[in-house]
Amino acid sequence: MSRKLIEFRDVSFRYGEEQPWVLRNCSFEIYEGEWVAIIGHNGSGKSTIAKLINGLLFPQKGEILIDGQQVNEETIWDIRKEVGMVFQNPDNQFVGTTVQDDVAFGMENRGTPREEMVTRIEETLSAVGMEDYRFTEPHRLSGGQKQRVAIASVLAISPKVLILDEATAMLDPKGRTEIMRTVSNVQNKEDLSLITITHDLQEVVQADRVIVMNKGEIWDRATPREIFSKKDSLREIGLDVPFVAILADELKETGINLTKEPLNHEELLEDLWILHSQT
Amino acid sequence: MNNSLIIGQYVPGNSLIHRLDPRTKITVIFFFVFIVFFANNVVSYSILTLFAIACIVTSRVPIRFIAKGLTPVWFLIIFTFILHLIVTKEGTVLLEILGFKIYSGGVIQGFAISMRFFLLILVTSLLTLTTTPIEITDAIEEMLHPLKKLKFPVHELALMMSISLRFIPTLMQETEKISKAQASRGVDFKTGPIKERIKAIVPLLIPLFISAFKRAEELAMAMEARGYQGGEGRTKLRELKIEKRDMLIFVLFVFVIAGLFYFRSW
Amino acid sequence: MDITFTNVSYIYQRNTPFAHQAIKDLNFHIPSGSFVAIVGHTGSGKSTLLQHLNGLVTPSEGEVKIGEYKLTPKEKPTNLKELRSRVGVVFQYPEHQLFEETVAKDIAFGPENFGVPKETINERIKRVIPAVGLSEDMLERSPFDLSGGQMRRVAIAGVLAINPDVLVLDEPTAGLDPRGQKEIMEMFNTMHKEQGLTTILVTHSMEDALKYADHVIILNKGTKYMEGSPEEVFTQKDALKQVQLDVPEVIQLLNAFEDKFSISIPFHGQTVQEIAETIHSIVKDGVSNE
Repeated sequence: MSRKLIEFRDVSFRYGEEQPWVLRNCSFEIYEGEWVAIIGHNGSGKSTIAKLINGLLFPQKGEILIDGQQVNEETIWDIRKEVGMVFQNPDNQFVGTTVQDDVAFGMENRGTPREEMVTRIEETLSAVGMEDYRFTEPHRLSGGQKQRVAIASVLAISPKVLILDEATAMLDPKGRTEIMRTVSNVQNKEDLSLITITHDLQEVVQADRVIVMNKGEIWDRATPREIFSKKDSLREIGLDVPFVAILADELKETGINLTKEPLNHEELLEDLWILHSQT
Repeated sequence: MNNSLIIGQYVPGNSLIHRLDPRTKITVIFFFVFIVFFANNVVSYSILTLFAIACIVTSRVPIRFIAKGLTPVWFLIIFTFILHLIVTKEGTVLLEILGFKIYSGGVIQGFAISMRFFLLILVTSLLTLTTTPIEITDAIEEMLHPLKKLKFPVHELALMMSISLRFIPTLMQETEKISKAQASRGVDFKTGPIKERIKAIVPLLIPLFISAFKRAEELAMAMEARGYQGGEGRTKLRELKIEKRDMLIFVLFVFVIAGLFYFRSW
Repeated sequence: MDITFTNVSYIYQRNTPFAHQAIKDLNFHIPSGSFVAIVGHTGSGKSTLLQHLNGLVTPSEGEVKIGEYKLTPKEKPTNLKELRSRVGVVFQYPEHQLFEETVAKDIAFGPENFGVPKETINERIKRVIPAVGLSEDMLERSPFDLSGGQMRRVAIAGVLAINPDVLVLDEPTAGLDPRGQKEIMEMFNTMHKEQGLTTILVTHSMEDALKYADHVIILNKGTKYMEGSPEEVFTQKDALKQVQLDVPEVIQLLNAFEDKFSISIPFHGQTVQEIAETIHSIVKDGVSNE
């Protein structure tokens, strides 16, 4: 197996002494080049994980290692070079007055020479399909376009990990598709680990692994296919089961034996087709 | 829907004046404001007026935009003129209205002073008409640079200005949204006694403040996540460059100053 | 209240270089008591349409009739406030409109503005609080101490306390997690049925439109693109595809099934179980035929 990039060792976090624990004894690893989806309902602690990885928060118990380096006050600036984050609200993370200024912001902070910035801006904007908008002001962009710019801004500093913290939650379906397509494109091209945090089970299908959070604890970790087969327990913790999984269950009820838990329509239909053509 | 939003009065364009370095424009205007007070005869006023007209023509900003910028000050200009007309008692009496004697000196004085006023406003509004607010911010940051040695937070000030500019449209949209939501809950912003209307602003202001604070908090977090740790060791994408055209304008302007001082009456 | 749009157009910043036509020649009729979904992309004119329903804007051309209230380019009803007390609007992210010190005061804000007597307001608060799934011990708390989902419910309660006949919902579930989304939609659906409301749901979610609405209007670039029952509208996949709108997932699957098996299963609102049985018989029949 490839290199461990992120490691949580028994991490617990709360906002203050008197406050309840937001995360309790969480341990997990994320490897180089892997796509991990973290799902859970609102308040399950999933976004706290993202902020801990980036050193925006520090745990009270346990430790977090990024590429072997412990996250603490001294290392955060190095770690933020390795870990880029896209947040939920497209407006509240757009710093620049135009698209290219926003992409430049992270590089400016790191003292990147101007010539290099110009080339990186071009590269990353075309990676997210926003090359025609270099001089556009944020209020002329749609939510999905702003989020794509946010992804470009992160890519510009060539991080090892990209975290999308509910980056699609405030978008319309078109924007959501845009982002999911952009993300899988980018992950294919660049050598990037990806952490997508979401409450939408549709968005975990492409991930290699899924971590399910509930009430501040890791409730399950599995492949998307395994997760899809645990419908009743997913409903119990407030998550929505995708239609294809529901239909698969109903089909099983009628006596059809599917060979595997389908992740999408194609897989289900293929399975049915094989059944159909068998004698 | 929001494409109409223009911050300040910037009129997009690509004229020589638009493309000048904002520092050039600010410097020239600064000195222009200064030397206007030295004009004291027909020739010296004509030189300045010609310069201003030349700038406007080159900028290709439609006259109606310039006129619009002047509307709030017309009153002041006319008021100044009338004031001088009444108060100044030099030269010969030209006519008498309602017991007030109008002197020739008053006419000249009034004309001169309101002309100064007019030129000042004309030239400064040309700056905002041809320069984006962010360019002005960049120029101010550069020009205040020496103050850094005195621990003056030049970078922070410039960043604050640019973030404010960035968020003006966002907050305007938000204001509209919240005022509509409250109007739909029966708040009347437009009619009723003044006291009631002031009270109606509370349900608008509180949500706006709360949302602005939340935005600020989230923005601060996003900036931190993207490695922002102050102005130290930062590079900049936006670059100001003095070009040939800037030098040209400076030379021309020096001639204007020289001409003014040569032709003014001492 | 019946709602009728006749040749309605709306232009933002008319007579300026920035003029922008948000809706164009819109015609439709919503009978009292129906549940209508208005679907379209961002920028299709949905929110402009919605604002007409509350007299927040008046049409640039044409006529909007809401019950006995009439909006035309020339006349705005003098009793605009009365109209607003009968048409409640839950705006997108309604929690952003909260401002009072306590939950109770915020809920009472709307009815107070409309001059509802205090006792009546208190009765209404008692009624709406459980309806939106909050408990009475929250009434004296500050709305800003609540979770995002609870704040949303308080804001919704504030609109319900106005006691409207027409309820306009602008993406009421945006930003909530799946459980929250479902609870909120179920809540509106129950209210719609129990109180005989006219409900207008502006949404991106084809699934919600299919599940709750009895009439769907599809907007595209400010004009009405399609209209009809959910079954009628959502089975026209090519027409929807042309404006880049998805069909609900059930229908997507049935379409894909038809492509693969060359057997069509027409959709007429079957349950998942019924669909599974139909698929079963096709798949198994195929097996027995061979």
